[in-house]
Amino acid sequence: MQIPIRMTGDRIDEWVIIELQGALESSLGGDLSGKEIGTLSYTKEGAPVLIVGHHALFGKEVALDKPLGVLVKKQQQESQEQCAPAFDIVASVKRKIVFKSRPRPIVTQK
Amino acid sequence: MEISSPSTEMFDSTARLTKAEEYLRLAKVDPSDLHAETQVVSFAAPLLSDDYRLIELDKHLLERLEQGETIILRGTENDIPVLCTDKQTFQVKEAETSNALLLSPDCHATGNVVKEGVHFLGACQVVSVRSHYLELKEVVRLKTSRLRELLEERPFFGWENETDSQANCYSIDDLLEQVQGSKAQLLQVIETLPVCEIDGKLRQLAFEYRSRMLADLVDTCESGQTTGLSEDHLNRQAVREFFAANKAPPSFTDWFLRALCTATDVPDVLRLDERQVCRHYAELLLRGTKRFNWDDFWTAWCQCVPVNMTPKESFLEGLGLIEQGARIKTIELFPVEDLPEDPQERFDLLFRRRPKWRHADMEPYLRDLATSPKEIGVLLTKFCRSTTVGGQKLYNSRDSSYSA
Repeated sequence: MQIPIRMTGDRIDEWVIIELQGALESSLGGDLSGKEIGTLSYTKEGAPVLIVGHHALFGKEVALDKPLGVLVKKQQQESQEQCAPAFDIVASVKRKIVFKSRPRPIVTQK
Repeated sequence: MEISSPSTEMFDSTARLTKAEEYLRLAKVDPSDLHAETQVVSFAAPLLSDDYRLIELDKHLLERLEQGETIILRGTENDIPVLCTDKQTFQVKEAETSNALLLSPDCHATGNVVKEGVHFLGACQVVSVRSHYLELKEVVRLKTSRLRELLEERPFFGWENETDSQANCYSIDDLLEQVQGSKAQLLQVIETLPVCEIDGKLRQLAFEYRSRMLADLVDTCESGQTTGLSEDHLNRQAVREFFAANKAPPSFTDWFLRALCTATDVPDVLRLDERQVCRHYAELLLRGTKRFNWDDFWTAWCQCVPVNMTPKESFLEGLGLIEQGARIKTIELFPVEDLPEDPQERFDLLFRRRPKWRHADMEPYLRDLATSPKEIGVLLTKFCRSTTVGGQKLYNSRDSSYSA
């Protein structure tokens, strides 16, 4: 079996990955769809700061040694009974914003 | 980590920015040290993480995709898939990370975040959260067993044995459906095999057929009656005409000139390759008799090769295994092509066949697994022990059960 991978448009967009330690959960439980994660700012030195709930994360932006491709399975056309599987490469990722350190709790003054 | 803000909360952008900056201050970050843009990061709705897959490429592969080239994932259901360009092959393996990879099409990295001006709130979306990605490892040396199996299904024995059916015959595209490798690498392997294209299909030339054609040519050369045909002066065009007259497929001549001939100083004039032709006759003898007494074999071999050729023991490497017993010396057919491609299995088989090997005897049976003599050394260190007996270094298995 041969599964082709190619771009469909005339260019491959560049996307960004935000890498967080561990998994993300919603305090409300359930689906993450539409939920806000937090705010992302950059210091003038270019260091990213992510505020998630009551936590601050300090990270850094890194160039990937090897770029990643983002693949999407091609939509099967209903008219054709057996449509051969194929992937579109919709984007590449060359940089990621990595938050490796433990989140620092923010103490709010009440 | 927990996300506390409910998605439905409507907010006024200025108030939201004020709140964000308040939190930043509490986290000991002075907002005046920040670039102007702060992005609110949210999950897309609906969040269809599984619609996206990540694959680790290299710059070169990505460039080719950016130029509109297609790369192919290839394999049968039971194989680990491989990824192929027209020239390269990569093994594909799923890798997992304990981190969450949040994929965002519109997140601004430092390169394009708005730096100057009044602080404001931007927004970006995360469309997928992944913790798996496909990893690639380049395959420099293709596994050829599947290819050879397919080609052996229906060898070409000559037109008289052909039928109308092309069942079990494969074109290069048919082979690419079943063999894990790039087209260029596959063709490169096929170049080294007794295979030629007949009616659009790549067919292995049966040993009997090759023998017959070679014998016919040698007879003609020895009779000296055809211009441009003698063992050390084969005119390319004369060879083509000779095989055409013998009803060989046109591409047979290409195979013959490539495999059994060698160039001379004169353009378009070749001569029979002594080593390859002698090897062919040795194989012919060894196929007929399982084990030969060396002296009998040598006599027979010298008699059957073309008159101007002299067999040498070194021509037999990787083809016949010579055993020097206490009283007699024997030889038997033991072609490297029939050995397993997996190094561990290869060594196991070699040590089952013979417990101790000299480097010179073993090397021909390892050459195809390595790209350099250094790599052969690495294989020997990894899979063998060595002992020195009477000044001679001998290799034996690491597994003591083979040394019995």
